[in-house]
Amino acid sequence: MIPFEPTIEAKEKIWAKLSRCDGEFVIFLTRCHVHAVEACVAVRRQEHMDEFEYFVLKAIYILDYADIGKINGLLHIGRQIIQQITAKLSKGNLLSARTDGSFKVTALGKTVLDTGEMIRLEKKRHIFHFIDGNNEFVRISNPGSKFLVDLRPHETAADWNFNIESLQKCIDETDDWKQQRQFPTDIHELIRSGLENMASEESGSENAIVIDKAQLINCAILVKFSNNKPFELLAYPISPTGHLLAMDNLFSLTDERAILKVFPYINEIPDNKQSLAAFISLGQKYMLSNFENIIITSQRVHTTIESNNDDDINWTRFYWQNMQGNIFCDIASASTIRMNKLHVESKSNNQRAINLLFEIYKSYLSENNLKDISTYKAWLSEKAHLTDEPIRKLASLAWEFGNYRLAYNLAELEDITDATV
Amino acid sequence: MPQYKIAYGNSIIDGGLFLRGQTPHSLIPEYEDGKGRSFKHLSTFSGKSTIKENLVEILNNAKAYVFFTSFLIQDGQTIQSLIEAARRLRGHVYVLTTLKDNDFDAIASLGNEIDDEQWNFKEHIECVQELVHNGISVRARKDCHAKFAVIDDKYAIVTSANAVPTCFTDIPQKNGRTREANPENGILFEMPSEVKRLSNFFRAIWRSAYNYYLPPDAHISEIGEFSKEIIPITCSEPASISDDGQIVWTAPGDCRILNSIAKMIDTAKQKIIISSWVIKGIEKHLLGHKLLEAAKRGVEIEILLRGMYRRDHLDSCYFLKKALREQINIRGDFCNHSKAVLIDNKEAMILTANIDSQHGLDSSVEMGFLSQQPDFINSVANFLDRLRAGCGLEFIANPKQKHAAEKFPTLSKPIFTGNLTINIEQRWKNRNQIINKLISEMNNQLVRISNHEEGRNQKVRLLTNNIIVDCVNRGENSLQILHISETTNAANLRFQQILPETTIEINVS
Repeated sequence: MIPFEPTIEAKEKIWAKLSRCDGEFVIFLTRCHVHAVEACVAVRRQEHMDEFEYFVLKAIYILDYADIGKINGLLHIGRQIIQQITAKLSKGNLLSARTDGSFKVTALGKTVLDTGEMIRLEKKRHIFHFIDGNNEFVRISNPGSKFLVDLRPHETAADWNFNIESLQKCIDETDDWKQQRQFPTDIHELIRSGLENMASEESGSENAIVIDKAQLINCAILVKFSNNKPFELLAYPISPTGHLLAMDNLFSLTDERAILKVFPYINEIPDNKQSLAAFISLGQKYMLSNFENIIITSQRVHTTIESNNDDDINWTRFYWQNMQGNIFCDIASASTIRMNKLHVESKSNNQRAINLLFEIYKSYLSENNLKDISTYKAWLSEKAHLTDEPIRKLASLAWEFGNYRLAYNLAELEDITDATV
Repeated sequence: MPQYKIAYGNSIIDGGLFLRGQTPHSLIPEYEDGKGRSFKHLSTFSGKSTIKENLVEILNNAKAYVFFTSFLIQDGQTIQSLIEAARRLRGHVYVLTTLKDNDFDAIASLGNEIDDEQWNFKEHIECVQELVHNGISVRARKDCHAKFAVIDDKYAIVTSANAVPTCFTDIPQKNGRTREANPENGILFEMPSEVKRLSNFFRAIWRSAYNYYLPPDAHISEIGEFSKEIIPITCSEPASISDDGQIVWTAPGDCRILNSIAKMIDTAKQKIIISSWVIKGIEKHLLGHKLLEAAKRGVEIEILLRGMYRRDHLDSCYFLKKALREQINIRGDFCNHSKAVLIDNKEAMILTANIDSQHGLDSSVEMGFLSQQPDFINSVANFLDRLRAGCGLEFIANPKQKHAAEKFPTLSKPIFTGNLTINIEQRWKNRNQIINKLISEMNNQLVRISNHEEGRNQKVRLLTNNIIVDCVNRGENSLQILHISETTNAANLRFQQILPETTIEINVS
């Protein structure tokens, strides 16, 4: 199996793409083991009903119990025709035949009479996806079958097992539940051993075999919170190295109970030690090393960093803004990476300069337009809300933050301007 | 009985070479760099480099920014000072150097310079990467051979020295000997108009007249290309020139160094002294013409060079020596890399360009400082006196073969003593033609020898300016010819010694 090792760059890109939503959220990178359960089910199909068939069904309903003779006595269309129609209605499960040759309208038959539409049951093999561990159904959209990977037997857990009753339970759920979870609402029943009740010509025990295929899916999971409770979960496909493969979600969940049942680790909050380790690794990437005065605390939807030292906070804030704020913690128990928003408590004197620097970095440098002092000043006056700060101070800050390119782009505005002659 | 016998040693050779003179090291005077109210003369001689001392000092004292230009950067202390300056200033250190190996090879035309100076492009690039990883911005111009630094628009250094160890210090060699530091020269000055002229020149290159760039980055070092072309350098300059001196340069279409030297020579009445690492292509160059004219006026000429055996260098020396005879003295040492021009003790220039018709005078980017200020003149004269004192070699035109062998500076033991026997195999169809060529070369040319071990055999190579004779040494002064090739490349091949006077017997067996 290909190892699941998202790179820090990939994590940052995922964060940048998925963190555009409003409100509070947490992003997880994880790999889910999935039971792709293929089973035979009876599916309801609606058809328009023939007028003669309707009259025959209605006549039997009026008569309550009736044999061919009684029906013909009422309708006068001929015994042979009535015989053919009753056979067809019985086959469609709208009539039940009695041993004395009489018929009775079934519940399905009554519904047909109410709606005027013919409902027919059709046997079909269908694939349902269940997350391993809790056997919760999720409706996975997997166009071109490209995001789910089949696992070989040795790649699954020793206790890999699927209880078919989980599927039966879904079929037995209410229509509201089915609509919320996107479970098909037209499934009439699970066929376990032939189709006795359906009098199908295709009946046979081999059709009732249930196949449980083990599959793997790598995903970035965006969990939105409200009042500290998860209310929506969206899963996106990613590669084993953590690159986002599509912006259409693979599956979604929209109620707290289901979200926590399927992904219980969402409730696990990284401890301060884990958060600090993640923060140090983030700092190392940017050649930063002053962690002595950092106080770090992780909450459910964000991680707070505090320090009494202005310098520590300065660069933290810059990178927080630079990366749109994220910190990655491993949740080893679930082979999952948790990405929290980073919140910086800053008492820095350089706050205005840092804000301006970040604005320059974000909008001005991206246009590669930091050419000379006059264009810089023009840009600054466009952004009327930004306060002017000495360029040398901005350049020095950028250099301190390890962003040498930005530092020189700024420094050159003054250093490389000709000396007055 | 030998079939052919040659008495080698008494023929006068065509051309000339640097041979040992009479100046012993004990006569080298105490030397101290001169200075004036707005400048300090800088130098490197064995044991001391005021160039490096002052360079490091001004880097350590930079308060706003550093513009640093050096063709090569390999000196650890200079690198450390640049990095410390960047840390202290939080950036603001701009370095212009070489970033492509083909530019390195092209400007270091130079050939021998790469070997003699122990330059190593790979090591240079590693040093440059260290700079960018430590937050220093680096750019390169294909044709930039200049070496200068400007600090805070207040101080500037122009020097012949690259930021490499051989330009600053004596270097112990693997064989136990010490390679003495190159004699180098330079000037540290704080003349506002000239510092600004130089800093604006640097800025013009940095803004839009460079070819490659290596952005500062803690992790990545990827060379980007800004332009393939050699871009003219246009910069704003102070209208007035400092009373104490003037910055001059070579840039595309702007040959101020050459024009200034030509004017200086035109004004010469008594003596012209030139120092350069090499003199090259002077025969058909304006500068050669100006020197001949000056000599006609009775001006004495002295040229102090590195006493290398390379064809173009020797050809230019020979051209001047043949034309001017006693009016010119061409002296040499083993390491000179300084560049200066002094006219009648009245006007002087310190520069980064060699007297080279291909690079430095007509093309490339070079820098110079020109002045008539007496303190500066004295400083340059004093430096040239010290340089001359270390010149143990003298260029001799048309020496006899045996004199060349006796006076050629070599540290290796003689490979042959007594008569030399050269054997050629009977089976060679063109042996008569080869033998005739061999005899002709030995009668008219200087025979140079290099030897090396190859497996169990000791291989000997005999070189003239036209042929390469590869032999195996059979011992007792007997050589067996393996291969002979006729090529003009032979003139520049390295060798260890010159064949002393001897009788050469050629046997066909």
